[in-house]
Amino acid sequence: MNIIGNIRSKIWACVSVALLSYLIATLATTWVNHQTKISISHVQKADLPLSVKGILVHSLFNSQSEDYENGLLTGDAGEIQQANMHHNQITVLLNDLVRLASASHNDLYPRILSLRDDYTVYFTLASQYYMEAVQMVDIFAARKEVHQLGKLRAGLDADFQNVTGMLQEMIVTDLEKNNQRIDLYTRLLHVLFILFLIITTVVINWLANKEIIAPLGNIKKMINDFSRGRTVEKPPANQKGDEIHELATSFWQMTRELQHITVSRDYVDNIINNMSDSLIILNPDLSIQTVNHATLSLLRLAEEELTATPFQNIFRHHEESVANSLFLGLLEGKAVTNLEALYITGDEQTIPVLFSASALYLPDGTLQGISCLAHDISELKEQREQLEFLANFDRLTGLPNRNLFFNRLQLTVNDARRYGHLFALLYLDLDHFKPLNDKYGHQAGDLALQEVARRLLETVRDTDTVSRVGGDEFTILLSRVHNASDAMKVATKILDSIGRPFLIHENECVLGVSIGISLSSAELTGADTLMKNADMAMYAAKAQGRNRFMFSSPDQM
Amino acid sequence: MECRAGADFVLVAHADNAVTTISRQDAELIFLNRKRRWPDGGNIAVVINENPKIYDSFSYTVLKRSPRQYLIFRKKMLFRGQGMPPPTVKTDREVVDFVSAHINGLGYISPEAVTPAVKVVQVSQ
Repeated sequence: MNIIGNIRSKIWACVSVALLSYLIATLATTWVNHQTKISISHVQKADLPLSVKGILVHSLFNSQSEDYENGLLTGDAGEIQQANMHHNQITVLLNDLVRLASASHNDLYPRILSLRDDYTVYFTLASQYYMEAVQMVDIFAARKEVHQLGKLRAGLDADFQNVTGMLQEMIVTDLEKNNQRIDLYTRLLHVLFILFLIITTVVINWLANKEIIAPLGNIKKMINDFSRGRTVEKPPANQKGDEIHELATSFWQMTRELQHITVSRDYVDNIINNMSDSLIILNPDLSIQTVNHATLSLLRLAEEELTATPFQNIFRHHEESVANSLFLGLLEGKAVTNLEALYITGDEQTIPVLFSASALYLPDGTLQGISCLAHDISELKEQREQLEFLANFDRLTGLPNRNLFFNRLQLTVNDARRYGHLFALLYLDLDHFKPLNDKYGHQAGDLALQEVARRLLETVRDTDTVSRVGGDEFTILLSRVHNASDAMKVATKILDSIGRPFLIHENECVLGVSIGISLSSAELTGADTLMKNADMAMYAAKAQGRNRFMFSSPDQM
Repeated sequence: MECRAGADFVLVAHADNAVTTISRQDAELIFLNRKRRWPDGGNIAVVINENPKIYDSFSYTVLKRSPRQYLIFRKKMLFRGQGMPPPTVKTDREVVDFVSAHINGLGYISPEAVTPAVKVVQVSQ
C-alpha cells in the first residue's frame, strides 16, 4: 500500500521533509548553544574562582611578606606576629585552590599542590627565623639563614605570580577557545544549513516531482493527446490508493468511453451521410441544423447555401403554407409519414418526394428538433405515369384507348343520367386501310393512323374524347349534343377531313371512314349497349358502301 | 689618593691587588653590591666596617646615603634574598685581617690603622 496515496499525504510529505530539516537545524543550534553554555559555565564555575582566589592569596602573601619585611627592617616583633596572622587565611585559600583545581581537573593542580606545600615549609621557617632575627641584636649574624629564607620567599612569590598569571591566562585561553568553538560551530551551522537547504530542496523537489508533478504532467500529456485526437496511453500501473493515479486512470477510462461513443457517432454519421434519402435535422425554431450528403445532391445546393435559407423555401411555393401548418403540427408532436410533397432544387427544379418527419426529444422531454426524411420518388412517379399512360392511352397515336374511353363513356353516361342531357357516340372504322398497310408497310400504316388521329382531334371540341379502340377503329364521344344533327355535322366534318388525301412517304393515298353513330336516348341505355349499337351502325355504313355514317337506329336519323 | 683633607677613612685592598685607584661611583656601586668584579676578574669581597668613628663618614662620603639608609639597604637585600650582604665587622683590625686574608678583599679603615698587610686604594672623584 502506498502510504502517500492521497494528495493531502503527498503535500504533508513535502511539508514534513521541510519541518524535519527545520527540526534538525534547531536541534543542531540548541546543541551548539548548550556546548557554548557548558564552556562558559566552566569558565564561570572553575576558572574564574581559581583565578580570583589565586590573586587574593598572592596579595595576602605579599601583605605577609611586607609585614615580615617591615618587622625585620624596624625590628618590630609585632609586625612579625601580624605577618603570621595572615597564615590561616592563606592556608584556607590555598586549600580552596587545591580543592577547586582538583575538582575541575585543572592542569595546574600539581603546581598549586606544590605551591601549598612550599608555602607550608616556608611559613614554618619564616615564622621561626624572622622572629629570631628580630629579637637578635645584629640580624646580619644570621644572614645565611635569612638570605636562604629570602630566596625561598622570592621563589614562592614567583610561583604565586606564575600560577595566578597562568590561571588568568587559562580564563583568556578558555574564552578564546570558546570563541573559536563558537566560530567553528557557527561555520558548521552555516554549512549544515546550506547543506540542509540543498538536501531539503532536492528531496522536496524529488518528492513533489515524483508524487505530484510527474503524475499531473502525465495527466496533462494525456489531456493533450486526447485533445489532439491521439490515442491516450494507459497510465503505468501504480500502487493502489494513489489519488493522482486514480485520477489518471479515471481520465483514461473516460477517454476510452468517449472513444467508443465517438466511434459510434462516426458510424451513425457515416450511415446518415451514405444513405440515399435526404435527411434534414431542424432546430426547434425551424432553422436547418444538419443535412446529409443525399440532401445536398438532391437539392443541388452547397451546405452553406442550404443552411442559410429557411426550411420552408425548399418546398414548392404553393406548398409553403402546407409546410408551415405541417411543422406547427410536428412541433406539437404529430408525426408525418410518407406524405407526397414537392421539393424545389437550387436550379428551380421540382422533385417529388415521399416526406416523413417526426419531432426529436431530449431524454428530459424538451424538444430538440425535427428530423425530416425525404425519399426521391421522381423516377417512381415517372414509371407510374408511364404505366398509367400505357393502361389508358394508345401508344401510337397518344389517344385514349378502349379502356380509358370506356371509363369516360361510363362517366358521361352517369352524368347524362343525372342531368338529362344528350351525348353521342361515334364508332369509326377506316376504309381501305388494310391495302395501304400491305402496300406501304406497317410503318406507313402507323403514320397514317397518327395522321388520322391528328385530323380527328382537329374536328372535335376540347370536351369531346377521341380514342383508338382497335387497329383502324376509333371512337369519339361527343359529351354534349342537342340533337342528332349536331352529331351528324361532326360526322360530316370527319368524313371531309379523312377524305382528304394523305401523304405517306411522299405517296398520296386516299382513305375513307365508315361511321356508326349512337345517340344517348331518353331510355338511358348503358355504355355497353351504346358501344354495340354504334358498332353495328358502323357495319351498316360499311355495308351501305363505306365512307359514310349511319345512325344506330333509323329513328335517330 | 686625593681624599678630601681631613678624610677619616681610607679604602684598603689586599697588598697584592694591582688596583690603586677607584672612582667614587665605582666604590659606591661596589658597596651597594652592584659592581662585583675587579678589572682582573676576581670577585670583590667587600667587608663592612661598623667602626663608629668612620662608618658614618664612609656612608655619607662614598655612598651618599645616611648610615641608616645603608643599613636598611643591606637588611632588605638580606630579607629579599636578592644577594648576600657583605660581612660586617666592628673594628679596623678585623678589616685588616679580612682584607689581608682575601686576595680580592676590599674594606675601609681609619688611616692610622693601615698596615703593610694591606694596600690603600685611592678614591678619585
